[in-house]
This record gives sequence, C-alpha cells and structure tokens, in this order.
Amino acid sequence: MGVYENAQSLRRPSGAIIVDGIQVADTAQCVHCNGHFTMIRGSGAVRGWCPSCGGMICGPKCAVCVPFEKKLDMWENGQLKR
Amino acid sequence: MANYSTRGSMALIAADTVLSVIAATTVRPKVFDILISSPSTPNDYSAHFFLQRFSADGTGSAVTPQPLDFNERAAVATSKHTYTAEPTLTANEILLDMAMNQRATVRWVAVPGRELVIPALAGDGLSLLCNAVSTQFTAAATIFFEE
Repeated sequence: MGVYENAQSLRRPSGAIIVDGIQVADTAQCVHCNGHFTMIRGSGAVRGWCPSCGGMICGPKCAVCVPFEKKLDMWENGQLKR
Repeated sequence: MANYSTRGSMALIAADTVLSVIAATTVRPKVFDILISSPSTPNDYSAHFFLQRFSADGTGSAVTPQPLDFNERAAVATSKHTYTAEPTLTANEILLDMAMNQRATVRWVAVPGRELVIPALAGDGLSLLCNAVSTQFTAAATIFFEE
C-alpha cells in the first residue's frame, strides 16, 4: 500500500498494520502519550527517545518526561486536566 | 480481565466518529485490535482515520460490546456509533493514524502489553474518527478491547 511503502521495520515493534492479511508496517509506541506511530523513511516526522523511560517518543509534543502510567494516575486523580 | 468486541458502520464523513469505546470510573479499557473494511461497491476511494482521545462523550447509537468468551461478564465500558453530536475530542491526542483504500481491509493490532489505554474516567474514551475521505463510502469497523 502506497502510504506504507517506506515504512521501516522495527526490531521490537509495539504493533502492526496489516492490509489484506499482509503486514505492511510496524508501529512503535510513545512512552509518554501511549500512541502508536509508523516510522516512514523520508517523512520528515521528528521522533525521539526518552532516556528516563527507556523508550521511543512520538515527537516534540511528548518531549517532557511524564511516563504514561503517571499521566493516567494524574488524569484519574484530577491532578491533570483532560 | 476479559476481551470484548464492538462494531459499527457508517457512510464516511470527514471529522465524524465511526465507532467509539467509552470508559467508566471502574475500568481502564485497553484497545488491542482494530479492523476497518467496506461493504460498499468496490472503488478506488481512500479514507484516513485517526484514533483520538475524547474527554466527554457525544450523542450516538449505543452498541453493546460482546465478550469474546461468552462465559465472561458483560462489559463495563460502553460503545457508540453513528454520532449525531460528536464527542469532545482532545486536541493533539491522536493515538493512531491509518489510511485505507476502499478495496482493502486494514487492521491494526498491538503486541500484548502495548495496548491503547483509556483512563478510568466517566465519559473518557477513544474515537475512531474519519479524518478525510476522497468520495463517500460506507466503512465497517470493529474494535477489540480488554477490561
């Protein structure tokens, strides 16, 4: 499928996108927002790594280290606005 | 922990929710599998979907999530499709981005432990949102989740 043509395969993927039964892309998971994203070569998307959490982050919006588990607790306790 | 599936379909309109999973204060639903296909006459149409968080539910047709094992209890989380008033989507909280051609079936599946988690807050949830569609066609979606 065109959009996933340049998708990079990952050594330890967090998920997969499958089109008509064929795996076309791996997905990685952001340790701060819990979102999954595909790594597309040449897309220009900026990704990153959190050394505290030891995992990938999806982009600059998740640059500040708040581990997702902590964020969940903060949402549920009302300490962080939804 | 038990697994459930919920399903819905609609003629795609940009910025409309196809299907949602809504949490309750006692459970954190974890989405691990999403399937999107189309029952419409095959054509080379395309659609772009987001899985986006919302903080308040909207108005739609309720779907009762079905347990995958019929010995399990009924789901606490709820689900809706065909929204007439959209949920309050949270900006910048798009958890998945998928594109599809109408002729193809698209599936996203998470590795165990890497699911998309919804906080245990009433009205909080995930929306399978049609971000854009080239020409309108009907999409059928199924979401599997654990709670």
